[in-house]
Amino acid sequence: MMGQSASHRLAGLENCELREGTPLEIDGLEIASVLAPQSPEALVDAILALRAEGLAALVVGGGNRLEVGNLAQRADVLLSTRGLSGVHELDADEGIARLGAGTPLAQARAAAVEAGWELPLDAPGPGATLGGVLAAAATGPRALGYRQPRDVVLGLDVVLGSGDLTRCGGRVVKNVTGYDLAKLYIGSRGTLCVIASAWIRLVPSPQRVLLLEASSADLGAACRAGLRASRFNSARSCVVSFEGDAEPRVLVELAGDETTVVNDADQLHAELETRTVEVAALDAVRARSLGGHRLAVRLPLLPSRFEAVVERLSSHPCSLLAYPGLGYLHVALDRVGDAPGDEFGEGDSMAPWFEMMDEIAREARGGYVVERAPVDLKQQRDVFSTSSSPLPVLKAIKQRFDPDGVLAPGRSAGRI
Amino acid sequence: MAASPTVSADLIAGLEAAVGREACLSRPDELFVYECDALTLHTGPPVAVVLPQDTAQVQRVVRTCRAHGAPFVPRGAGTGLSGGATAPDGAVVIECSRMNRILEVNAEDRYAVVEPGVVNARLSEAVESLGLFYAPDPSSQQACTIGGNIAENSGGPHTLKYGTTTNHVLAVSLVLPDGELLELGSPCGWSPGHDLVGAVVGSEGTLGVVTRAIVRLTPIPEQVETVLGIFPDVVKACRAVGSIIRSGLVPSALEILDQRTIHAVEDSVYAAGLPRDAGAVLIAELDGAASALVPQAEQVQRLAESAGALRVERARDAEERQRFWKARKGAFGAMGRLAPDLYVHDAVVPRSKLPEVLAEVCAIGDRHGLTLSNVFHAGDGNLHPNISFDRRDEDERARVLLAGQEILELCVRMGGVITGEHGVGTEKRDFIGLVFGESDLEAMKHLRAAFDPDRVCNPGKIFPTTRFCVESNPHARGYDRVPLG
Repeated sequence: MMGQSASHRLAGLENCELREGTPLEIDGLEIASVLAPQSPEALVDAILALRAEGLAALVVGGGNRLEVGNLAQRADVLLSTRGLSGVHELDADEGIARLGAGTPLAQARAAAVEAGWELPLDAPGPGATLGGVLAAAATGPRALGYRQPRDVVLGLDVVLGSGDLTRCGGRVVKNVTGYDLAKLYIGSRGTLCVIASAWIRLVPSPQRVLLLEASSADLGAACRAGLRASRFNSARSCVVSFEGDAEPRVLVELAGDETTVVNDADQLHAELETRTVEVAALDAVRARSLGGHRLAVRLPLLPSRFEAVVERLSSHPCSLLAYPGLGYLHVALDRVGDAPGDEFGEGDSMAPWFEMMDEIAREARGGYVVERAPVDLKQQRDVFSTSSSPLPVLKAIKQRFDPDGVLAPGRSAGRI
Repeated sequence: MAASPTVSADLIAGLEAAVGREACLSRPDELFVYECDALTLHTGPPVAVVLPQDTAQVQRVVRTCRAHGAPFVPRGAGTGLSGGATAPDGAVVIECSRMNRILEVNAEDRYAVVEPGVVNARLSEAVESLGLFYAPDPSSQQACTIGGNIAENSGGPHTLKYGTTTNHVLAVSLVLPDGELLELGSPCGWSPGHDLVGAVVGSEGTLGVVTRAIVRLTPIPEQVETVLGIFPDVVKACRAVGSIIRSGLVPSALEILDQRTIHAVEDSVYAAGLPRDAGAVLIAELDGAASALVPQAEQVQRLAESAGALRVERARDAEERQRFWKARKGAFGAMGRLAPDLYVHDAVVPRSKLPEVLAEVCAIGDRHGLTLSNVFHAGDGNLHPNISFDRRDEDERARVLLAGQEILELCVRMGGVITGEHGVGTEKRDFIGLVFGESDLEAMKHLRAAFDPDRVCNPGKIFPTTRFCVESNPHARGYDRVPLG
């Protein structure tokens, strides 16, 4: 942890705020110092100073996803992108925007709407920043219509762990000039670089948005309904929630031109007996299903596997939130069974549960991420279920982009 | 870095052992057709061409090359337009055309597992009966392969709505330059750690050899409407494109052909009845729910008329629509009527800049006394100025190169980039400095080094041959032999 002397070593960086406060606990590490560069150049200086002092940083935007990742080997300071905020350019003719990484998504969204466009990024929580969403490749249910964060970024300005300020991509909507490094950086969770700003391709504002809800007494029927709803032309998001003993709920958000939305809504009503609900209900269900639990896992799944997997997991005391059209199942729980001793994190009580998850992932030809877990559980296992296949390349990438391990060493897959 | 090898009998014997004697070509007459891709101005005969049939054979070939210090170049159908499949000195070409099987189609989960030599159009044909298609549709889709598309992150007319190849690749099997096999991604898009699939797509075959891919299949849209706008000149057609983008419509394609292209097409087997008196035509295609398309097509018609269209027509049926697309996709072939050689340029500008950029592109062609025509993906701002010429005429060739350079510089000056879908290859490696600075290129080299530290996999592509040679010497792009590096 960073002592006073280490904090003192970072003092005096120009155009860079250094705050000391109540230590924030992240995965058992207490971090009291927050370094907030106010420009990309100051970010370069900050990373060079960290390198020179042999210190390590966790990069933070809105702080919604700090718990995602393996345990950091070291973290002396939080490196905040809040000072890198602002709508640098918004071209309403082109439908593109260049935004500072620290820009709150709500602010970016408002600017886009004012120009007649929509920001195609789904905030994972309140206060989310653009840089945080991109670094985490945070995928909300609206990615069904928006596409994934990787698909809407045209270019990035980043500072590598080496301290080099570099750019990839650009401001045009089609571009194969050089390697597509933006794909590498998006989702790298601040382990290779710190995003300073991004060019984003906006999408037209929908003429109409509707949220429809259907209930089902049957898990399988709910999965099938969710997949069916996801495949309507105007479906922008679709979630199926399974919470405790309550009936499964299917929520489908339609967005687009008036004619298509109304026609799709009519057809969905006829097929699934949907009712219209407040649009805000989508985020409320999402927050309730995923928030507050001690263990949360994101499991990518093929659409055809949802029904069987949901049926299998339903015998466990967990909350499930499925995005069937996107191929994600979120699993959140506090204990693996109802019997005493079923609390996880004690001994190896979780081993059978994770064996089941591994088996599900193998059958799905994929993997999963443990997005939230107690520290002792994180100490026992890599939160990214992974084969060893790409690890040598992942290690070589980390070594090249962050040679001294300044940026969250240990947090990536393979504890790299 | 591998030493420049001489052709050795041992190397050829090793390659023959890896793939079989009949799948290893090494006689000069056999190698002749492999000395370039569709960028015929850059040539470099390989020392051998191998035609492996599976991943294991590719691994053996790569290990044999490494053992003999020979670089290697993955190659699809050779339709690339930036010299990406051109062999540097002493290189072995790994030709993937025999790895052409569609291994699995999963209609329910909408993906296909394919080998790299599968021809783009064949995949869509194979899944059409399931109501699906493979969305990236380069103009060369009747010949180009999925592996080549992955290397170049190929686009096509319908990328405006559907995205480029990178948006449709879920996983790849990659033979690394040391012969090891890396499995990246999964059918459900899962990748632990970083998005290495995204990094491999568009890497121009410099990170390894893709021997298998899992690609996304897309539902065939319920209905399609195709609108043909006929304009007095290309600048007005570009203005219509700007209006359509700004309106919030999301067409699946917005393509423009200028008058010279129209004439070339109408004189060829691709003739579609395009009006010869038009200065330009705009093909605007919309797809989606049937109920919404008619009003959207009417809106496109109004916007085109407001921008100065002489008239606007709508394809009456699928046959007429296909005729329009035959004309569009056959345009490059039709230009063979204009001159022996064609230089297909590729650059991107902000769409709002299209009118002024197109006017200046035409002025550049005129200034150099060249036959320049335009057929391009206007909705993406992706220009294809095509220069017809005769490479045997040294003076004309020099003017072609100079005009090409001026076009790139213009596009970058207007906020654009030097390639939208053809790649950098050898063609533009010495112009990449127009777009990226030293630290930007260093970051790319970090990625390259993580996969291929010895730079033996398709060397001589993407990166400048000399440090910032564009800045130091604007004429550095020579049609010399491709050096290693």
